[in-house]
Amino acid sequence: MSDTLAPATVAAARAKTSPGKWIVRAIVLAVLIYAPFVLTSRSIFGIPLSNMQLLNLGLTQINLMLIAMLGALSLNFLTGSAGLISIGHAAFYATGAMTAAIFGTQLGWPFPLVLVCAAIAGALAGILAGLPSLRVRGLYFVLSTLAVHYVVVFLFQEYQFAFFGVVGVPFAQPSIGPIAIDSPIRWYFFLLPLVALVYFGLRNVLATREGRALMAMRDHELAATAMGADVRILRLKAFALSSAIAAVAGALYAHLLTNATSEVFGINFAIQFIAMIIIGGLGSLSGSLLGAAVWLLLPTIITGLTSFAADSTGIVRTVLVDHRPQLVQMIFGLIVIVLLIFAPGGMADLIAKLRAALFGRRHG
Amino acid sequence: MTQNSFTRSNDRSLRPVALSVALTLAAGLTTFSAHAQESPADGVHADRVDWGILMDMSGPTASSQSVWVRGFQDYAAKVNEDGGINGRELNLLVEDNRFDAATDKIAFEKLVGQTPVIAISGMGSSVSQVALADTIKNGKVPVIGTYTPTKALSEPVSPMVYNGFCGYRQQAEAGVGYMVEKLGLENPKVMTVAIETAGGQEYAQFVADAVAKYNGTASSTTMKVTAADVTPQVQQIMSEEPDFITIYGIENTAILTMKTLAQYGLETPAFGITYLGTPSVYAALGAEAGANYNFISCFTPGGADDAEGNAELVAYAAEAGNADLSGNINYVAGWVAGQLAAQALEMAGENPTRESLVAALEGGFTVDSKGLAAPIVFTPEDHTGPQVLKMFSYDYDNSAFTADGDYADYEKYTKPAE
Repeated sequence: MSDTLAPATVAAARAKTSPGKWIVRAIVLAVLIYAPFVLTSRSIFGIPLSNMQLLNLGLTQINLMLIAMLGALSLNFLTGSAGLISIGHAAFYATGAMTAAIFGTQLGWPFPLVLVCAAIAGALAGILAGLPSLRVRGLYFVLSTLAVHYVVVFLFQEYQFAFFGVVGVPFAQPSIGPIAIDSPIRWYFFLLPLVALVYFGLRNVLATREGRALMAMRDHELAATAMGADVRILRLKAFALSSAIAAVAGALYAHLLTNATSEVFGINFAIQFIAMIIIGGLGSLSGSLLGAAVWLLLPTIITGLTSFAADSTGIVRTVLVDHRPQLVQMIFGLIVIVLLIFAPGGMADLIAKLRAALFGRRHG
Repeated sequence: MTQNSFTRSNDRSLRPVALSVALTLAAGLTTFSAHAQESPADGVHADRVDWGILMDMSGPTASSQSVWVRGFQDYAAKVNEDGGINGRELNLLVEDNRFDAATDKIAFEKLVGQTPVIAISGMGSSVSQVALADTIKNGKVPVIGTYTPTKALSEPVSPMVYNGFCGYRQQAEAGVGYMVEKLGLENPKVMTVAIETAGGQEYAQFVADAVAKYNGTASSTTMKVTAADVTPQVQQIMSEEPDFITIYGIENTAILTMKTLAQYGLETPAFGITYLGTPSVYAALGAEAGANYNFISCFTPGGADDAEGNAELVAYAAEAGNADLSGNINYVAGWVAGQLAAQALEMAGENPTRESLVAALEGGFTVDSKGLAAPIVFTPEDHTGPQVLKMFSYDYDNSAFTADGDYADYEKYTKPAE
């Protein structure tokens, strides 16, 4: 079943699922449940694995990827459904982190309540950030989200310096009731269902009447208005939902890092989400997940691959060892360029094509 | 949107691609299987000991931190050429933090559990040090030879942390004391120019404390680490008219500040912290702006004197193709951190573990850098590391650093009041 943000999605969602697909899903679920134990014990069924067999990956990295997936999902929902490109996502992350600092660090509220507050604050910030969309379009709107970014980062910085200083804002260890989220594996089992919840939640939103109206608005605003959709309200709703998710992700991100400064939420942080959804597939929810995975994990995998050259000498050592960070970034950049040239629809589209090629089925 | 644009003929044309991808993945996994091996929990192998380094090898602070790593690597290579430590090679696993707090956390946990190391050096980001301080102090992997000695990690003294760089407090005290004496000041007026980091804030406070000893007044101004223009900061210097300024940051912080001061015709004397004592800073400043700029350091740049350790460093750097780095204070600091790591490992015995390493160091020890720094003394109560400093300037005519006096001359500034 495709999750592309198009009317076809809705029809596809109604299609019956074959038993084979359920088996595949069960296997995927089993892998997702077993994976953190493999990454923690560095072994599978008691058989030790080398670091490279585990692709040089660790569980904390997977947890950061899951949080990034929330950001990518929310941005792709906004871009794919409402057709609004925002570079203000770091601002919503910062809003969430700041709200978590106020209600969690300063007031000592329980973690779940802190996340709810972050979502509300994010939604409000999103509505404010979305207001210019009622009047401006295209690049002008993108610039307005850039302005929002700088305003929020400035506010975070002022807040940080006023209450905590340049060292940064500390975040306490989160807990849900008596269960402390105090290890990577606990973080994983907290974040994984949350990502699944957001993913399926957004997919369901798109299947509703308002979701279809959003997509109609994206495809042809005038036609959608003629059909009776209030595009202004729809746009603000999309913004509110998207930024609420991003703010929750920001609160989680700050808690996982345990300390955050305003510099964490720079413009590069915002741009990475745009890169994730382009790499994954603009307008595809599953593409958001893939894009976040590629963006967060690929540099580490490439780094691991170059570690085979640790004992080399001469020019090979100069390139692969002495300049490894630069090489990793160059290879990563090249892969992204190649991917965008040969798969302009992103990873989601590429995988759909490969599946069709292997199994002889059409996608879409 | 690209859905529905795909046809069955495309499916067929892509089939070889899909099969190639599958075959490549299978081949890759086979290759990885060939390298499968269980990593010893503490990074101690039969022929080598894995030692971790966490530093910014890319990003805005890489210009100084990557040079420190090169110094550490060269010293480790020298140790290995001489037979290693207790029969094992010192193998460095360098992780790039990319000036990113999240990457720092990932890299730290990688060195703890994924590719285990016996100890970690570097930790160049002060923000990350603050974030990871509790984890390190309550963990099992000691951090030996830090590059950025923040208070959060250094205080209170922990058996898991040994600083390897000039302390901020000592830099502030020695620098301020020297400048006050040299300029013959009473009630000095001092200004700190710092980047907005945890370390910068700490340093400014240490400067204020040092200035207070002379009944002076201190103020500070900050800038972004990526700042490209420091006109507002220099305007502040112009309005406050300090007797001298002190600079904390990366090389660019010193270059921008001193060049902008020169641009406005100001000849305010300045001293930078140790990180900012590199030939490239002086080269960028030029003789005019560089004449007012000194730096305080607990390490002696290569070629600045004829101490045994200095000659050894210069010779090895040339042999390793890093002759141009030997005069860089960060290279020297990395080399000395390598000496600290090697000595610590030697003390841990023939079959070291993380636990035995921590236990071996707990009673205290002294690192003799053969003149590259004053003897570095660690006691159970004091893990500050290098504490004695001196002021350096640059002789443009001879393209060499010159020290003003000896380390012993500066002890009076940093010695606690009795």
